[in-house]
Amino acid sequence: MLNLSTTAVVWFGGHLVADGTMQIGALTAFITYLAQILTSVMMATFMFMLVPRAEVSAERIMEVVDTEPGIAAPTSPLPAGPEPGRLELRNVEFRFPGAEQPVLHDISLTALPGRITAIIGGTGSGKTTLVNLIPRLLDVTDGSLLVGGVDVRELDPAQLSTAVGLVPQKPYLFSGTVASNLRYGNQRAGDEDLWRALEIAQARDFVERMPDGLDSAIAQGGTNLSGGQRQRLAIARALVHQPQIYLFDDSFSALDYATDARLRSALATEVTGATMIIVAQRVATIRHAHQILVLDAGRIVARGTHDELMESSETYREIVLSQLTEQEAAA
Amino acid sequence: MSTEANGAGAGGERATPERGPGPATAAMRGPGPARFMSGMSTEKALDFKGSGMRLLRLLRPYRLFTILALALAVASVTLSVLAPRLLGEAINLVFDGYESHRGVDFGHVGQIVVLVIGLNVGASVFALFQGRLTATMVQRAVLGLREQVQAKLSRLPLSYFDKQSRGEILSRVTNDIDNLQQSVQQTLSQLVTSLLTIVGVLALMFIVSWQLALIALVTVPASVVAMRKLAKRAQPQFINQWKFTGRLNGHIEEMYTGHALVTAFGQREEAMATFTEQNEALYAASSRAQFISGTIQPLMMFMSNLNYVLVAVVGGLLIASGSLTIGAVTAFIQYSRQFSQPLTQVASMANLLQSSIASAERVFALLDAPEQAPDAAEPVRPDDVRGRVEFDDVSFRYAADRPLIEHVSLTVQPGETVAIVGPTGAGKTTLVNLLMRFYEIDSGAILLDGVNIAQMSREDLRGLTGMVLQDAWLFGGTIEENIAYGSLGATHEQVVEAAKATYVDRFVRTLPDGYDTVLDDEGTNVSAGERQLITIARAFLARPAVLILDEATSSVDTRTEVLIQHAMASLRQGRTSFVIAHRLSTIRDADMILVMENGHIVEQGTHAGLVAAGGAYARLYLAQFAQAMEEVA
Repeated sequence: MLNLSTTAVVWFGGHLVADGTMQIGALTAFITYLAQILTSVMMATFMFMLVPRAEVSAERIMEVVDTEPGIAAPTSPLPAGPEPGRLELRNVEFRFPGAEQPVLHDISLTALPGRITAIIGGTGSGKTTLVNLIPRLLDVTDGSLLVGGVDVRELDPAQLSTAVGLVPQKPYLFSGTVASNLRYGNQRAGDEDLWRALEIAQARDFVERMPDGLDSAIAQGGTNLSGGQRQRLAIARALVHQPQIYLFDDSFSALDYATDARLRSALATEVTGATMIIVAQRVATIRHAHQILVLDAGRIVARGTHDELMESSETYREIVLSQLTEQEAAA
Repeated sequence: MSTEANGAGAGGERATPERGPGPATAAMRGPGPARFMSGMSTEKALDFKGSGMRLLRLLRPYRLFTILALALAVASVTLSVLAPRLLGEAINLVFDGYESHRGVDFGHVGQIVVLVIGLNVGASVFALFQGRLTATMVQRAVLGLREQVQAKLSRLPLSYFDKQSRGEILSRVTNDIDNLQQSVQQTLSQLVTSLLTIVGVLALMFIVSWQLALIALVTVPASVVAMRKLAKRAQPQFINQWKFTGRLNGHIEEMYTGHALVTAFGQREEAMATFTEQNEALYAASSRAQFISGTIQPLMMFMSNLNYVLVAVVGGLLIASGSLTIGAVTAFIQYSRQFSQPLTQVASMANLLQSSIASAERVFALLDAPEQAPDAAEPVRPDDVRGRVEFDDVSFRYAADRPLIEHVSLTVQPGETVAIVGPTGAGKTTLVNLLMRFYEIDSGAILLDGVNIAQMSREDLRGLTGMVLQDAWLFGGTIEENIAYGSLGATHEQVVEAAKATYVDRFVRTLPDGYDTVLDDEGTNVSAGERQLITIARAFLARPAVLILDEATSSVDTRTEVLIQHAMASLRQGRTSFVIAHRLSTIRDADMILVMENGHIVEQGTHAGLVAAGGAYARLYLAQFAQAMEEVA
């Protein structure tokens, strides 16, 4: 382009110079100006190509920025009630936006401090969804959920997270150290607190065997640990947090029976006065709960203690028998 | 004979010790600095020359292309370099005509102008073809390289994948090859043209006027050097910029994945604070980097203007003294413009080249990794596959100093179910992996129906064995395709039959698209238990002679598990199966139970026999069931 224009300038400029209307110096200057203009034009075209791309990106960013958070923080948060460990669900329904069927129908329950409430049910019966409602990872679509007598949608989020300790189904650990993960919910916890939590969570022995103990590195997602180890650290993390309400979402599934049993007995003796919600598939895990809720297709189909349910609930008996028949044969 | 070129197909097959010490394996494998998502790797190649040569050899099959592209480049550069000189002639004609008051010979000027236009058009056309040709060539070479890598991946032993993180291998297969493709394409066509242009322009500059050429030779490289200096200053800032980008992205990813925890533990504000802090750091680093690199352009302008002034002044003096024509000076000004551009390009390409060679090295290291032993030349296949499995004094260790399986001997009759129990790390999964030949044993032999599996082809062996694993592996496709995977030509009825037998049918019918439901990569639309059921249905349909179930039902709730137990009982009928489970209830009715500890089989027998013997199994059993039994009582 530049070369062609220069050629043209020489041709036309040549005529002008010949006519005497133009100086030869002006011609050379003109050629230089031409080069400058063309460079700028090229830059400008480049910009024109960039602008639409930037526009598309900007739109996509604004879409995210403009999205209303589904879980809105209360405008005038209320403090926790006098009994912060008390958990109450009143006719709770939850459906995912646009879904035909709600995941949970008409769930009512009360869980009290010092008591264990267990939730059992098949795959896809809504157990995890129920648990996720409590720390407000999801909001109820009907009915209400109260922690310490206050609707969680009104409660100060900081107080809610202090009150609730979640051990999720898939234990996730953050990159950092064992200690930084354990202190996640409670920065002020001392090393002794951490060791005590590890002890209860049956994780002390393997953390002690790790090269740097509490300061051993944890990869993102905890991928340098086995599933069972991750689960125990996640439990210890909740223990360090010292909430009033513990939520164990199938947190014992990756543990063998013996470890599971030791862990639960340690929990029973060491953690008193807190409300425990345990979701499980193993009957052994929840056998001693103060109340057991049997969840099926999003509804509570039965509730009571183990013995009561063995009497009254067909579904519960089926679950129990599916796990115990072989042992009966063995006994 | 170009043996290397032929290597395109079978390249990885050969060991390549003669290729110099550089890019070899160990050093490249180390964890190294994390390669954050930027393609801007700051790595330096270890053996620049060796790897560079090897990279060039990749182009050897396209020699004709290369020569043609080179010829086109030479032609294009020659034409474009000649143009200013001719234009200078034209200006001289105009000037002389004006000076002498004889009038300008526009006929002659017109001829030159047409010629210059012709030259420029020709140069552009040649350059265009050269670019197309280079692109085609590079794309084909990269295609070949990708095929090599793909073929190599299937020949790598499992141990290679164990030692390296998945991201690391993925990054080589995707990022590095992409980087290679882009940078090689850019450098190859630009580097050649730039170098040729430099030579051509320099030559013509000296032809036009050696005095002016000396000026240009000082100022133009000086500006390039100044630019390099600045770029060097900017580099650590750019590295910082990428480092902080990486950190920020890592933080975002982590907060996103762990969102439930962040919320439940009330750590949103902390997460936000970390984000802000890292965001500020990124801002600071970027603005410093951009500031320094922003000064490069004005500096270059300044230097080029300086050059212009010098050339104009000296040129003017030379014209005044009559030793130079005005046309020569205008031509020269154009040359000095043409000169600086390729110089900067070559300079900036040095970095690009470094990074592409580093990428090439990482890909080559993958290609050079030791492979699994090739299948026997004449693979044996048992005539009558009945499923008799023998382990004869098998030993295997992963790392030389850590025995995994030690002197294991075992005979399994056709149709028997063998259960393997033991603590984590006892070698249970390793034992079945050896049977599948995912790893090669160090000593001893494994026989399937009397044939040593080392003598069988892996494909045959794995066709005869079916595996259901703890981590259900499903690919992106419909449920039906996933069930039929491994059973070529299965009819829809057969699929449904297998699905019914394994309780897949029930939940598939509740899905809106039934068997045509597309499973995505992460399988978010079906639960973990359902995914496992699908893999069980797959094994059911494939009807292998030997079945391996490695914690196959661990993600299924116990009620469903009982259903699967029934399905598996019929699946196990008439075929040998190996079952690994930590729920002892799963394996009580096995024909033989192996208790493994530290790579040894410490106990072997039936459930009743082992419980009566009161050994390790009995203890394990009691630990698991004492409580459960007391509950039933």
